Amino acid sequence: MVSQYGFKFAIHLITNHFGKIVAKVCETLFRKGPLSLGEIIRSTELTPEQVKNSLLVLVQHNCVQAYVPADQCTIAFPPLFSNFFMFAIEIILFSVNVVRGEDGSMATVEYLALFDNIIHRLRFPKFLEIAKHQLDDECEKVLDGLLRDGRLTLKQMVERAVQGKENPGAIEAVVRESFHKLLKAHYIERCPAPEPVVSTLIKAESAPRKRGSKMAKKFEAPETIEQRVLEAAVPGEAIRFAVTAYTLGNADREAKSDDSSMVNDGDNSGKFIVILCESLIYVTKFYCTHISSMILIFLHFFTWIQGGIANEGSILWRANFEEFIRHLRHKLLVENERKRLDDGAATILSAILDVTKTVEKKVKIEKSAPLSLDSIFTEVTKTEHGRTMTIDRVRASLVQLGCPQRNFDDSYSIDLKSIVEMARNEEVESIVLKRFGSDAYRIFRLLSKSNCFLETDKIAESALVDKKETPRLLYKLWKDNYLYMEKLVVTAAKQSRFMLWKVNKPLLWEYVLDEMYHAALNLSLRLAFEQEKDEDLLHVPADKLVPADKSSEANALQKRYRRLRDVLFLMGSSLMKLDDALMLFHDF
Amino acid sequence: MGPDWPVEPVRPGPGRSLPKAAHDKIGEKPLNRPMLDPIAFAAERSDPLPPFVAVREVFLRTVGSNPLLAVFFLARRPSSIEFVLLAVVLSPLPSSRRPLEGKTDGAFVHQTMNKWPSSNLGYSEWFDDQSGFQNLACLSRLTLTQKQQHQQLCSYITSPASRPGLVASGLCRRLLGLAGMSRLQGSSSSLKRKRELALVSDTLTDGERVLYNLILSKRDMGIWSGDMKRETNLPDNVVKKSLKLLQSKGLIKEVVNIQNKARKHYMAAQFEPSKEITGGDWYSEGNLDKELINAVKSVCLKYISRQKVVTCDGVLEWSRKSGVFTAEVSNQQIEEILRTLVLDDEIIEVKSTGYGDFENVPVGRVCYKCKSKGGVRGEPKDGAMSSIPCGVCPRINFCSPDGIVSPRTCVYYQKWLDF
Repeated sequence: MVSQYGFKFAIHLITNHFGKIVAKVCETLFRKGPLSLGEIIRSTELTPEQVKNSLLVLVQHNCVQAYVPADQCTIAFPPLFSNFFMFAIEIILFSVNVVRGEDGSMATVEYLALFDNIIHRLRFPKFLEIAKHQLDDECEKVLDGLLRDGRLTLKQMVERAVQGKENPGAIEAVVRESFHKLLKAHYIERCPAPEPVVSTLIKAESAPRKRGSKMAKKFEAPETIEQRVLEAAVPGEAIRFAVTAYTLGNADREAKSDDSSMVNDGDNSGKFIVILCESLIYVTKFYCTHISSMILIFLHFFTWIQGGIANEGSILWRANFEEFIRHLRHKLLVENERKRLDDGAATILSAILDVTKTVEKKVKIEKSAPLSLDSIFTEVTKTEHGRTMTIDRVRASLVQLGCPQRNFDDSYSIDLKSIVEMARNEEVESIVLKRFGSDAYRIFRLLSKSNCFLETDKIAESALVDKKETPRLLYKLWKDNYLYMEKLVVTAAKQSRFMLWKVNKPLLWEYVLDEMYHAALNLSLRLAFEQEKDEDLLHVPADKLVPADKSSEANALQKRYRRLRDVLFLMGSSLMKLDDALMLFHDF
Repeated sequence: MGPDWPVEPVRPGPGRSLPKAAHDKIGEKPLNRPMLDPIAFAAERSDPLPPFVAVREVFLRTVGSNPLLAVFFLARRPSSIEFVLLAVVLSPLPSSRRPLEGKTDGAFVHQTMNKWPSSNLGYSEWFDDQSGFQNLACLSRLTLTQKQQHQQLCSYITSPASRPGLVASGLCRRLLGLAGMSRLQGSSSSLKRKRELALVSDTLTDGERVLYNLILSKRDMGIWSGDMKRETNLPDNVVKKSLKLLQSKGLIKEVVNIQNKARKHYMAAQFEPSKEITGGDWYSEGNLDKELINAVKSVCLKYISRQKVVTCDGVLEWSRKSGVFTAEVSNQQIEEILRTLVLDDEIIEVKSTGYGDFENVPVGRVCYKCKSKGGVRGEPKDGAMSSIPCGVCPRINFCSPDGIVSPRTCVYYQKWLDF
């Protein structure tokens, strides 16, 4: 559930990048949820052309995902086939049947705004820095093109790079090499399916709870529509990072071979199996067929018959935000442990995370994948700082990292969730300290650590805060939603009323996140305001800003320029730092 | 001469050891002994006496010219063993003592005990009245309030140049604490108290008696005047008048209730207010002594920063050995300070693993170590949100892009961007 200022900040980003009309469409989708084209036109009161173009821009830049709600389809067609030819016949027969809604009308495509992808636009400079440092400058340039244009084919990337340059051949080779490096590192991926079919119904409990069962059922929040749409849209792991359809995801092989044109070499039967698998994936995922899916299947069939060349002109690629967020999360975990413990612990954690990165199914994993001590030690000694470490040192650091006992199979896994929670606590505590003072800081930390209800006097005694001051501070914290309060009335000889206080962390973090979005929005608005104020400076020729000119007018101009530069630098860096906190509370 | 009521001899309690002769002497009715003329005695002495001890020259004769000791005698009941020891320590050389006639040195303490205002023995001759009421009036004049005792003690402790005020006030508190304890200790004192109660209740009016009994029953918790009115159902004017009179007689005292300073809270004179009333060890006159707490925290933090890891017991032991606190601190007080330092994020609490830095600490024992902040000790790391104006703004809930409070018009931003 996204907060009020989260939406406002996302709309602000869209306005800055694409303009007000596109922002209006996006805002309508945020306010009213997924809508069809007709509904958007009616809600925004824009022309159909404007809405279509806006949606195209938003889809192109991965800010909106189209899908077909499964409950609108009356025909459910399980893919039953014994061999490829039977399957093809069934598909052909089925394709004649048009998918219709309950009232006989065509099932409408709905559009869903993707909040996370919109906020990621704020972090593009960070993603570019990662590519630059992890890979090289050329990779950064290729990625830059992808981020600017949203989606590109390999052919378009090459065209973009060689435009107006001499020696296009060499540049093309560099671009291809960079492309493969980015793909190997999973920093780019295939674009998702254009209009997957997604069930929008909430699943009922599958099995009834046993009476008297002592095991408390762990509450799991139901999947949101956005999660389901993304899950349905994302290509299978086999092809998500594959250059062509004729590999089973081994991008390394593709990178090494001459891939300017794929020759129909090798095993035809292998290719047949791949197409079959691909088809299976599409059909079973979508559960009932759709015209576009049909077209894709036939396209693959056709290319198989053609002999299969790498479809550089048709396969769209985009930046894989998930991988960048994972990288940033790992970076935060390592830096936090370096600050809390020492460099050695940070080196060991970094080695563990590097090794287990590939097996992580999602970004927000709670524990690192289990590894044996020997594997950890091997990885650590490969690093620059870990070369001289002994196994005992590694073991001791694992204990410090909160991993004192091995798993039953003698493996170690680090509790990453607790590191993230510690970082969140520190961030919130620093806000409390600055906003409410040191006494309130002590009270807040006491309640945060105890994680239970405490009575007012007990808080005053434990935190050594004046008993008169304590209720006032508690009330201030409660009014600003940092504390949760309950009243307890005890009726004995005399009725007594007690106030109990607690830090409700999940609620508090949601509230703090909303405040952060608010602060990010304010920073952006103020930044824009400062730029508008001194807009004329941007048009002043550089020679007028040269310090050698000693005239008063030049001095004043230089002063203004220096101020503007400092302001932009301060606000820009503050926004980037605040974005780290946004990721900490939302994405990590 | 002498009181009209029967007098029982004072017997020493179990903690005391006296020569047999002293026991026998104590059995004597002290009223049989000739009393000294206080005024004449004062005239004989060449050195000036503080006014409040002028009446008590009998004590001075036995304990010498140490005014401090005299103050202790005034402030304390004689039944406290600590007080006895203190009196012995602080008393002057034997040669300067003037033992009472018929008494040996070993028993002088008990002799002086016989002369306590709270005892019925001997003081009645000092005044010309025969009525019990006036005796009580004298008793009230002789008894100081706790605050007066505190002030006098502090004034008699050596100057700030030689001892810091912190130590002085700490010593005062400690001694007052002892006094508070001493008032409640001892089986013989309860016997004495019963006699006093009997005496007191006979001299009170009905209203005063009811109120006094109620206040007495609340012991060290005391009672608010409003609650007294409710429980006794006495008219308001009777309650007010009675309380005034009881206070003037020195039977009750007004104490500051930390829970509600505005309310008049009363307690029997012989009790020391409990922690719930005073607030605890760190409270002084109803206010948290922040200076004391910060001073103790600073001292402990400096010690911890020089060590790799410390335990609570270790800090306590160090404080006792080094003598950094001349007043005794308890394990609980040190624990409270360490807990506060943890909450201030100056130190962290860890459990001993028995290895490395924890080599000398049993496994599982709670330890503390200094926290290095942001790689540079002592400099707190600013959070992302707290380093921008919005993060600490008290008006963020009123702020909106187009509102009266907006980022474009924000004065905090103006200040922040004022290079």
